[in-house]
Amino acid sequence: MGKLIKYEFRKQLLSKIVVGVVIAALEIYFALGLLLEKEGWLGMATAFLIFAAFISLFYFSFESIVTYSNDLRTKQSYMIFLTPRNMFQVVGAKLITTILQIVLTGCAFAAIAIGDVLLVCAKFGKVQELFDMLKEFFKALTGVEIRLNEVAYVILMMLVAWLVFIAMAMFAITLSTTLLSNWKYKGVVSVALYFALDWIVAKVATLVVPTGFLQSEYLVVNTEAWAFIGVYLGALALCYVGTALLLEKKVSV
Amino acid sequence: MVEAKMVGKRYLRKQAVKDMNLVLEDGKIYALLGPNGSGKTTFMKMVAGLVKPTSGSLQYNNENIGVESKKRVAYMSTEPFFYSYMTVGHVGKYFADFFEDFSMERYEELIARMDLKMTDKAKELSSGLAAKLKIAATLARDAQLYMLDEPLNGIDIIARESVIQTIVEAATEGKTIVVSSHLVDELEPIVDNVVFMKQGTVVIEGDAEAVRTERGKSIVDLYKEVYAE
Repeated sequence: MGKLIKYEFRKQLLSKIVVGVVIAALEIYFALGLLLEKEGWLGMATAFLIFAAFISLFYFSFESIVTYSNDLRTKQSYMIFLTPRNMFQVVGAKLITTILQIVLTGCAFAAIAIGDVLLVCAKFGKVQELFDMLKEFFKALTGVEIRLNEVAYVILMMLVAWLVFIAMAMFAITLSTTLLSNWKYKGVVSVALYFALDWIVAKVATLVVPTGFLQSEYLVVNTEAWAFIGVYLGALALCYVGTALLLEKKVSV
Repeated sequence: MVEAKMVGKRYLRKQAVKDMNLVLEDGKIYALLGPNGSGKTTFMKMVAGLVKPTSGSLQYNNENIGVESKKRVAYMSTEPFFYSYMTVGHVGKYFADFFEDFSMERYEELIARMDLKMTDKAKELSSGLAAKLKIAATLARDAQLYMLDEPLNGIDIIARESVIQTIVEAATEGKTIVVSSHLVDELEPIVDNVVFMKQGTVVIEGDAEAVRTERGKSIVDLYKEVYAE
């Protein structure tokens, strides 16, 4: 599966290079602002860096879906479907690549943000002051005392929810190119199917965890919270198995 | 050995292959003949595992088409299919990564013979050179069955002889080669068996010499007769 992952990364390398160049340019802008003590430049660079981080995360996920769609709809599909690999490996490689991209991109932007903040603080000698200010800021914003397990839970929940979104999109695309391939309106049907799946997963999640712990004032990482993630992980597993089985049994490229 | 029993493939409103029965024996070169839309490509793609039959049974060495057959079947499509970022060198590395029977040494030799360079971008090649690249990548595998879909498409008349020679070289003992082409006259001298397809099914099939004797005409003339109707 390692080789499949390698080529999934390689197919999507160009966008990473473009983002890397943009981030490098913004960092230079940021560094110049810091060196010359121009607050306007610092503010602009920070705003653009935050914007670039969100756009990149969205784009990389969207790109995974587009790449998968191309793998089924264009002649490049032969590159995958001629190789002696079973479809569980193929779909698994795509999902793992997506996870790695999201995690690595998130980590890279987090590292850049921490580095930039430390640079600012080192320059102006106010490291502790800044940390206190950030802590107060989050406390005021969320009304929640920052605790590591809660932060970890929220990050995990976001990652799982994002993965389910991608896995459901892949499943819907696969259905449209296999079982629904003879339908005139397969594109519309697959989009409708995606929203139906999304609704079902959300409904099941609220049925399994009816107390709505996420709506409570204070987030508590308890059994209900893990059950909520469990429902999404179940949906992810179903989409993975469903996609692989459809490709194995029905795909014609 | 490939065995097709009542194989069919239906798309939206089109029956691409219908009730096809055919046995491809080991160690022979087959010409798969027919006009556009006769089902040649669909049949080849089914054997390669790219297309799933909608009816019938299709087996390679008594096993359904799947991961194991893909290890031993090399398919060359008529369309270019390499990733857009790839150079000729990348194509070789990709094949080496996924096919245990791929020989980089043989690939380099074929690339040199086809007047290609490892640094050439695959998507920027002319149609003739792109066809040569597909042939080199396919024939650098030590496969048991080669399926070549229109390998002479886009290749100029001078280079065709060299390509045909390369195909014949691959036909070592026990290996089966299936070539589809409209250029019947260029294939006729090298093939052992012929399969004529029309409207998704086999209409004539057998040993090339026997077909010639039985029908009293060359394969080229027979092709004109069958498809002129």
